[in-house]
Amino acid sequence: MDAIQTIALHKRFRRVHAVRDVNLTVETGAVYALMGPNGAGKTTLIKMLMNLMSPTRGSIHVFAASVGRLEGRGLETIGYVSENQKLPDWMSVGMFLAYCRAFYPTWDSTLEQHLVRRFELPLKRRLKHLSRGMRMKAALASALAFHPKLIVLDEPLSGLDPLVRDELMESLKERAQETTALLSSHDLAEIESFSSHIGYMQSGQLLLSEPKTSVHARFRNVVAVVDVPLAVPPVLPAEWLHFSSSGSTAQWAETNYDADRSTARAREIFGAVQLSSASMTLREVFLTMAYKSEASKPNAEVQ
Amino acid sequence: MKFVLHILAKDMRHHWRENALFVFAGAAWIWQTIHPSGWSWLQQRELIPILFSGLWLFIVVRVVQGESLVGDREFWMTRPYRWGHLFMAKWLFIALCLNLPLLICQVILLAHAGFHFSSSLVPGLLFLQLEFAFFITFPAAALASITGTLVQWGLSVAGMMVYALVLSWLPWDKLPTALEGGENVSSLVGMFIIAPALAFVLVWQYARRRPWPARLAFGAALLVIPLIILLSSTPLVRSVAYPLSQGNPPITVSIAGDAQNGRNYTRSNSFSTAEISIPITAWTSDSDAFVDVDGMRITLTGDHGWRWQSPWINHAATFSKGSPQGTLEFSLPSDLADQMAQLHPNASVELAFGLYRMGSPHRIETANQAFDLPGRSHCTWHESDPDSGIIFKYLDCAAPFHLPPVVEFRIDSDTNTCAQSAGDSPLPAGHSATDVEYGSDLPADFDPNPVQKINFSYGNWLPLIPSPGNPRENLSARLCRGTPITVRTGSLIGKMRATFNLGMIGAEKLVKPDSDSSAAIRFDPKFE
Repeated sequence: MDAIQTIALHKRFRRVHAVRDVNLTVETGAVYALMGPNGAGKTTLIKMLMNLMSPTRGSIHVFAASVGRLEGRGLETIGYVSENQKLPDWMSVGMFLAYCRAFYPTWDSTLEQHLVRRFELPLKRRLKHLSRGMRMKAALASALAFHPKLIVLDEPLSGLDPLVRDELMESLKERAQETTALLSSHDLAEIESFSSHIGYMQSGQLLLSEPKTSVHARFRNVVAVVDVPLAVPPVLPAEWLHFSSSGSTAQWAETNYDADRSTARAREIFGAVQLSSASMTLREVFLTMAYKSEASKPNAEVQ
Repeated sequence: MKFVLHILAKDMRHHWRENALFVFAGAAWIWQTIHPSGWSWLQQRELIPILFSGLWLFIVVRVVQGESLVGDREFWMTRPYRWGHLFMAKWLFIALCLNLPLLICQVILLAHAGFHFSSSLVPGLLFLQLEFAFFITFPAAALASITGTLVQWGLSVAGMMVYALVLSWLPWDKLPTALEGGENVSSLVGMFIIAPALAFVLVWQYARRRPWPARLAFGAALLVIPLIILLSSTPLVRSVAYPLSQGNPPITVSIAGDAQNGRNYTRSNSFSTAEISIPITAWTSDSDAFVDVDGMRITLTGDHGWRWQSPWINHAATFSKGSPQGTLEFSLPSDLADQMAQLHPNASVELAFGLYRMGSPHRIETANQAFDLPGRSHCTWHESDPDSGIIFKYLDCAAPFHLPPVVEFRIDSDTNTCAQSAGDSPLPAGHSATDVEYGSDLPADFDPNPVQKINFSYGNWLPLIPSPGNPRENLSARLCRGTPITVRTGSLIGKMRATFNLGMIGAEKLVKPDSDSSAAIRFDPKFE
């Protein structure tokens, strides 16, 4: 059973299509990192997944249940933390955790205490008097302490200092074994280490959604070395991105790398060539996708 | 229920300051009501009730918006709340923190007025809580459920006030006059539209949290208001409110034979209308009936097919066996009034009235310091503070929650003790004065104070008694300690409409002012 499945999900705000026909599948047990530039539609997609916003059309199922009915008991196994969520600021941290505790049958007080200690949460201080990082920690503690089957995090790390990021990420890693996670973040280096699946959104479309291993296999930086100075043809293959050359060396990025096919293609263009490749970091994947998307726009200047 | 109490406990903890202030305002309101002459330093006596009701609204809005139903950033929306639990917790909070303190205040006020708590008071107290929930809490909560913050709520209320102001500027006076019964019917129709709309707003918002359909429903409910006003003036609603009397009407109306009561009509030079006043006598076929006229319409028909009909006019008059006299007053265009002598008009009047059946009379002796009235009301004689220099006695009468639908208090000149106490010569026998007070059939009137005061107002003795000092003035009736009161209470049988032929009326001579053009031109009409 998939943890999340959307079919032809679409959201329109008057003339703006924030999410366009997204078919997203998050397998149970996956840690799905949703990437994309600002305004790509990630937050809108997540809000629809959490039934905070209704789609213009399309369907969403979370653990096989329609998300339109996601309230009450359906939320007992789902944790959600967002950077811009309004917390009950008048409550102290202790009161907040105690208040949340009653709603979850699976609340683990030992885990709660562990998270409080780990995050060094001041139980008696009111949420409104906490720093941004501490508020995020309190929200995360309340979203992890009940062993959620699914945890959805919308930009949980933005604006936090590196120390706090590390603490949050470590806590998420600890829990990653027992839960399905969907998180959107700009901190690609942070999430790369423990995400199992990658999604990339741009202009409301889900342009990429697959296991991280597959991404690393497909998205590669390719270096070609020839014995003689390179003669670069005026028209290069469309799948070669960020092409540059110097002397007898050329390099480019490929988004659909296949060792045999790419080598054959390079030999067609450059003749005898030695090809080597290295997988891209998530940051490079992100930039490559952004570039590719930009380049594919009708009026974009092809370099 | 566990979750309801959990949310309730959280809200109680969150809003304890507002609740404490509300209880304090309630205590201040009780103190102010019990000591009407106290707190002279407080020039604006309305301040406490305004604070009390303002806090009520404030707390309702705060508690509903504590878990805001608008927006997508609220923490609680992604937590396993059941909407039914949340909804119940909010209403329980309002019942415990607003209605319960109000109820306690009301019990204290009733006890202070001499109505000690008993099971007979429970229906009235509960009904008052329901009225407050329905008319105040319910609309305020509905608006709070479609606004995200207190500021948005306040701006929406300000917008509604502007809307009301715009409505008040509309030329409503161009519409036909709406009679009380018609207003009641259209208000009922409006309530049957507005109440479900507001209920939809609240339930929809708690169950679905999609504000725009709810906002549209709220807006539609507001748009219904001018339609209700329009509806109240329509003939259809009038005929529903006052169905035509079947068979013989329960009253008979004729023009009074007593010329002293003013057989005249006058025309003002300032306006192009003549004000006509026709004295009538009306008696009921049932001696226990009481007629309360809400409105009338005069039709004049004359020679050569001439016909003139007045619009419906609000006309307050009461007729019973004890007080059959009254007048019909209406305006006629001056040029028509001038032709009245030649047209030999025949007049008929269509009356819209409520018919009440009065119970048997009770004679109440008022010599004691305190005495009871029918319908759980009671009165106490008080004497003003001797230190003030002016000593006078006054009667303080009160009823719990409401008066009966109609109460008639009659005093008679032969048993009146005022002249005796003032050392004047006794009043001639055979005169009476009646005060009629209206209440309702409902368990309680919509008033936070459950103690309803009765203020007697008798007007002149009837038949009139000229004042001994100034024969141009008539003696007004007063109630003094020891004067017996005859009290009858009644219940509404129904509202109806009937037409009565008044016969021929006509102007006999025209008296024009000599010089002052602003003086009224006076007719002495001839009634046949």
